Amino acid sequence: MAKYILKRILYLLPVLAVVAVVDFVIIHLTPGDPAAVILGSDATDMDLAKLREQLGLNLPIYIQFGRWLWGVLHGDLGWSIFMDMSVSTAIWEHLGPTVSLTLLAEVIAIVVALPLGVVAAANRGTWIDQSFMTLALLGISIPSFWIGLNFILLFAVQLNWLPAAGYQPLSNGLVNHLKYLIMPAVSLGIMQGALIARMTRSSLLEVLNENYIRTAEAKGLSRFVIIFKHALRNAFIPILTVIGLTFAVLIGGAVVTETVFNIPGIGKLIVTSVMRRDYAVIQGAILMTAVAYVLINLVIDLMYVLIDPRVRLSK
Amino acid sequence: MKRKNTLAALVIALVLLFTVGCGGSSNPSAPAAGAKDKNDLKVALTATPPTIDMHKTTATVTQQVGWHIFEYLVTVDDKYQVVPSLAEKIEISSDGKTFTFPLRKGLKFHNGKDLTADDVVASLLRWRKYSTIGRAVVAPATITAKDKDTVVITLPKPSSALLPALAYPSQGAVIMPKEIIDEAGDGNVKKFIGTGPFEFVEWKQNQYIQVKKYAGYKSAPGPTSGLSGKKEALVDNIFFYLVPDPATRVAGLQSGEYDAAEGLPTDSYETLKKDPNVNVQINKPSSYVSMIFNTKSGLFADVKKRQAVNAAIDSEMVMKAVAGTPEFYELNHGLVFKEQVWYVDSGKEKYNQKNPELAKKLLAEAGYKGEPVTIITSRDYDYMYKSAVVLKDTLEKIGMTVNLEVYDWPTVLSKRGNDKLWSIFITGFLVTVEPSQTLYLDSRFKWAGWYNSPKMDALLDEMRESPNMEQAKKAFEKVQALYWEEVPVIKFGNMHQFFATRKNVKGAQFFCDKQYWNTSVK
Repeated sequence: MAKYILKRILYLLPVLAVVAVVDFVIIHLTPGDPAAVILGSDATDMDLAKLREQLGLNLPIYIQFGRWLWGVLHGDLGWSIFMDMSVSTAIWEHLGPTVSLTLLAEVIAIVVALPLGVVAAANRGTWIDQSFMTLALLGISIPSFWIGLNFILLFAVQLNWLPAAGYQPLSNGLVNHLKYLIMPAVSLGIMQGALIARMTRSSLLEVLNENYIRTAEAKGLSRFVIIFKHALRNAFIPILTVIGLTFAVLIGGAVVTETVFNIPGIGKLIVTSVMRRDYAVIQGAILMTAVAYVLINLVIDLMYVLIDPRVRLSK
Repeated sequence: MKRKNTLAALVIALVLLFTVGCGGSSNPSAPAAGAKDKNDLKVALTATPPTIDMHKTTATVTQQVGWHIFEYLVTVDDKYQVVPSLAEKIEISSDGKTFTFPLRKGLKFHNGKDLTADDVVASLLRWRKYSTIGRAVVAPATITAKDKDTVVITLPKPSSALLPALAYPSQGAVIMPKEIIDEAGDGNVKKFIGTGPFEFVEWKQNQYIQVKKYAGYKSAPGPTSGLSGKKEALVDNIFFYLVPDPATRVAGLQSGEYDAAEGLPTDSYETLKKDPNVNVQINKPSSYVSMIFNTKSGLFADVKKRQAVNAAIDSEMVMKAVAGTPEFYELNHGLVFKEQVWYVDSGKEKYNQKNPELAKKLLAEAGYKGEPVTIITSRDYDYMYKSAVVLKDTLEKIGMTVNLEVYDWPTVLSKRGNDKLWSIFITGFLVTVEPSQTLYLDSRFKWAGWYNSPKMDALLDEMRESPNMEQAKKAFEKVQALYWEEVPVIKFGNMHQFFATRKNVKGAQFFCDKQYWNTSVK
């Protein structure tokens, strides 16, 4: 197993190399000029040229890339020209809100989606199944920002129960922390939950057709025991994959939701940096997201072994 | 059993890892929602400033935060006339070449240091290095400290533009301590230290900028007038929240998350007006919307083609598209606002002509043969995109071929620096203190559009060197007439600023832009 993990981590290197190159090239091919953003729209050409030179933006792109790569290899993700701090610090400061939001959204998604999917599968073809799956379809189809805006209108503007936007760190108290996060987490969780519910249902249905389930039924086991003890565990691998993927997507920053709710997370950091062409930050944040993505998938793969003893990773 | 334990351990490890991550951005002093016992003002701004170092950028949002922290040597009153601020008075020699500024006594910076003439000299020199207007107007001047409390500026020729340049709020000549400036070198200042009614506390990236009441603040004498006179911090803290999404600013204001919100969409006007907890304000004069021609290369290097476009423009149509309801705009030809002493009527007949027939005739005379016009614009600012769409339609109706290219704002900024890439872009211009500060008129400012008319430059100089207001205004009449004749830029109309606060906010004043001194939250 240790060998497997090591191998997987080594696989990370080519992935990161590709991400780094593509990332850098796309960002630098995009027109736009950080100097113009720094100096404002009334700046003159002369001032712009001077600042570009000062920031090293007039160097050939391969030299800029070489400098950046050299830094990254030495653990230095670069310097944000706008925030005047290192990119690692900037990412670290924006990671907390995103992680909290992701965990909460994922917990909400799982808590709602698993029972929903199981009940739908157990009552296949009935009105319960159909209405649950219609709900799930709606959940997948409605954009989370739209749900978010409606939540704001209802719970913040009309009822005044929750703050409309913003963020409070955990250190200011759990209740405060959750008060700000619950609306965005639910609006994100609905979409993820809908995905998980659909996967749970279809995966469970497949297992329920297996022979050993018929055997269990013939033995006279209760429906509950059959589903939860025998079927669900076998059906769990695809569900886990979906959970892992949604988690990885969220960790990269829920760009739109974070913007609507004004949460200072990774998504907001990336958007702000793109709007300002803060190259080093965009590159660093995307690289970080890629690493998180690969690592989360690794953890999910390891969990397969725990759930299904037939899976052997080292082969 | 063993396997289950491993699973549990893994999950716990993951959760722990992420919980540690959450601790990364803790700040015990951040305000909690609904904490009404605190005497804090929460303002929603539209964008994140690039910096608060006011010498370094023309970004409006920098000024919106910065002028609470920093102050100018001189400033403007509600008639846009220059009056002392940190200076006690302004003494001008009889030949009009020497300006002496004795400083007010006993002023201290936020770091406790006394304000001296050396700080003022260092600040003005640094500002002159970076500011377009500073370079243009103050370049030939010598700026010296006569003694600890007196600053002297000497010019080779008299200039009526010097004081307005020193008082111009955007990228303003604010005063910082000399050590901070020396430490900064060519970069931005590391600490934001001024003499203003509020001192800088903290900038939480992508969240807020916090300033607090400066206990040692000494206001200039006299009542509040424009940006001058009495300034008092009536709240303990101001939190400038950085809220780029307009719908979030509206909702946050309605729910009480913010006490005041800037840059509100005009289509939320009716909703907010009906809200019993909200006061709406339409502020003017604020800015005017314009299209800028590339006069350096391509089609519009030819003045006749520019005149043709100007003949076709229906300003009402553009402004209606931009602002929606008439409450938010005003049709006016002036390069200064009618609230200002500089306001003149010249060139009026060339504004808002709505004459497509004349336009077609002028185009034919100029030999236009269907070459494409490239308009670059951005949806990041709603008004730019909307006016560009109307403009495209107008130009097509007089037989021009138009490409409308829509980008994000940083792309527009970078493209407009290259004269081969565009024919027209749209932007807004803020109130100027003195009209020779208008960026696109003076060729020596080298601003995008690159209008270069020796006649205009000479008139601007004549205006700046006028010994009195009366003569300066006469010169400006000629400037504005020439502007409408050569149309390097076409002004569409004045756009007012839509602003709203919670009902409990009192005294938030608008002059050039929003000020939150003398503002209370009860």
